[in-house]
Amino acid sequence: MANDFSRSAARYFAIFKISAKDMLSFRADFVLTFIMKILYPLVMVFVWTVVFRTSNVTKIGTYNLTGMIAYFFIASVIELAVFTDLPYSMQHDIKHGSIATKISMPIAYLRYIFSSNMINNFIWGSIIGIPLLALITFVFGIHVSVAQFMMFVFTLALGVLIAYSLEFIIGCLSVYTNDINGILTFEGLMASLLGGALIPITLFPGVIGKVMGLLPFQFMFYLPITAFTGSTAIKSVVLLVGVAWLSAFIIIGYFIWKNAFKKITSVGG
Amino acid sequence: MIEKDGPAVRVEDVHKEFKSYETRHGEGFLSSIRRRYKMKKALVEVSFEINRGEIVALLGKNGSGKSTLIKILTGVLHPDSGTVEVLGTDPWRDRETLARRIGVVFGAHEQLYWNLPAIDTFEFRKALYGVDNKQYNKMLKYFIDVLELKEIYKRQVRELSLGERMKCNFAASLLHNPEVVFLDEPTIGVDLPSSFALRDALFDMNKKFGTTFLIATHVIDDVKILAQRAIILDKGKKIYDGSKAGITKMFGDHREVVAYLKHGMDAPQIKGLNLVESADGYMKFEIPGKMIKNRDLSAFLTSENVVDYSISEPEFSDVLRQFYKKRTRRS
Repeated sequence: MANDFSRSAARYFAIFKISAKDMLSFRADFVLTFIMKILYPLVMVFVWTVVFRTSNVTKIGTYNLTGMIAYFFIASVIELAVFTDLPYSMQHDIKHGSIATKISMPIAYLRYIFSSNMINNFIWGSIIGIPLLALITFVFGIHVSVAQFMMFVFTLALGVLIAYSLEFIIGCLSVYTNDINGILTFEGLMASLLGGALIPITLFPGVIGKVMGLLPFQFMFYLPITAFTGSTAIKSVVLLVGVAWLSAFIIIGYFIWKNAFKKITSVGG
Repeated sequence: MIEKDGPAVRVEDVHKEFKSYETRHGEGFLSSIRRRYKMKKALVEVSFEINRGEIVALLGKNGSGKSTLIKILTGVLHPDSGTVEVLGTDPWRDRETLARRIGVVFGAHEQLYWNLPAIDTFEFRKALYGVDNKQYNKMLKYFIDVLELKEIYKRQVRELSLGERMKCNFAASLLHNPEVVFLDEPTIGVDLPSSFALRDALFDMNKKFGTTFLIATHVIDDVKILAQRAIILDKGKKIYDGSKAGITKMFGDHREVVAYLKHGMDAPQIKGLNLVESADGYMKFEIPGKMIKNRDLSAFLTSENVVDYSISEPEFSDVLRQFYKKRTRRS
């Protein structure tokens, strides 16, 4: 039993290790991606500085300029953990037929593809994200209480799981469509816009804001950031909405994968 | 549950159909939206057994169902009907357990991580297949020797030649020393030295570890050298199963006679002598085996007009080509 456990732990560790090595083998790509991800909030700094200066206000919604800038820096850190390569890996395996070699390995394909992709987010999120978050906290003088931090971790975990299950569903679609890039771009845009990576969603007017409060995307950016900075209290009913979305995506993902896998194994990828 | 004896592979009355669709591209506006479905028979009533320690070649043209069969045997596809057993277990139901005991090499899909040296893939698969250190070191050393990987396996895979990659892929796929190995076009596009090295390794594993091999291929040399037994598939049906000598025999005992002639010679009129090919100063005949001592033929071959000649058994590839041709004509 213990032997079984250590053996299966060794298998997952091996998947993490080789995926991490594979990712880090593109050194220039890794560095450039890093710089790009860090530079992105600077664009937002310029945009919002101009907005605040030209409109001569000290506050937009509940945000002052510093708060707004902090918001986008945190968003860029969160982005490291949220978006995945999962659908691209699945599409590649399915379209090129290399899924056959992966199905023939002594590990279920889903476990393999999830663990080999999650390492990506893990590296970006923990090794780079956490120090950056600490730096942002220090520079902007954000006070993070234990309760705030717990809420941040919880909402972010929900957001990551929602993103993964949603992108998994999109990955499955590559069995049925010729190309999922269009759907992925659309999903990325929805997540950024409706999730609050481009504009904090409380700034959307009335009905639109309310609708967005019911959507799953807010868990990817807006809610974790709000939890972290403690600017607005998060109602527990909102968390239930997130759990409901996650459950729904997992159920949909389960059935769509069941069908997709049946299709793959009857055609052969 | 795991049988120690019994055949390595048992296939009984296996059927497989694919739903394929045709889009009507090029027929006009909106034509690529409409699709028409068609059922394609990939395997029809296929049955055979492979004993432990056998090397069997699976022959057939492109699209004859070879790859489909290999995928069914490795649990990647499930058959529509029929029974499949590999080492006494159902490859579809017990895929993950069976995967540790079988090996699969898809020539078209490498298992290697492109950006890393092959040794990283080896170590990854060692953990994935739960191979212990002692066994791993033994097998690694074995493959380094037999496939000459010493200069290769620590270099980034993308820098290697196709042949070198195939050798590494072969080693990676068989590091867990499987009991049965399925190869799908393992030497496709590989240069001669590398494909010879692969063959040597295959033979050696068969002798040393008693490994059973099923090789799907259309490279005739693979069959000629490796397998004693061949199974031929055509349009999803098994059309031949037996020794490769048997294929030759099915067409009667034929010999090829090649004669190099002085200029301007016509082919001699001898009964039973059948001209197959001719060019200026060159003629190739086909004769029944019993004719090799024919007096008229000997007289012709030893005459002044013939500069040089040879009599030989026909090339296996020619036999196979005729085999296919005959099938096509009959159907």
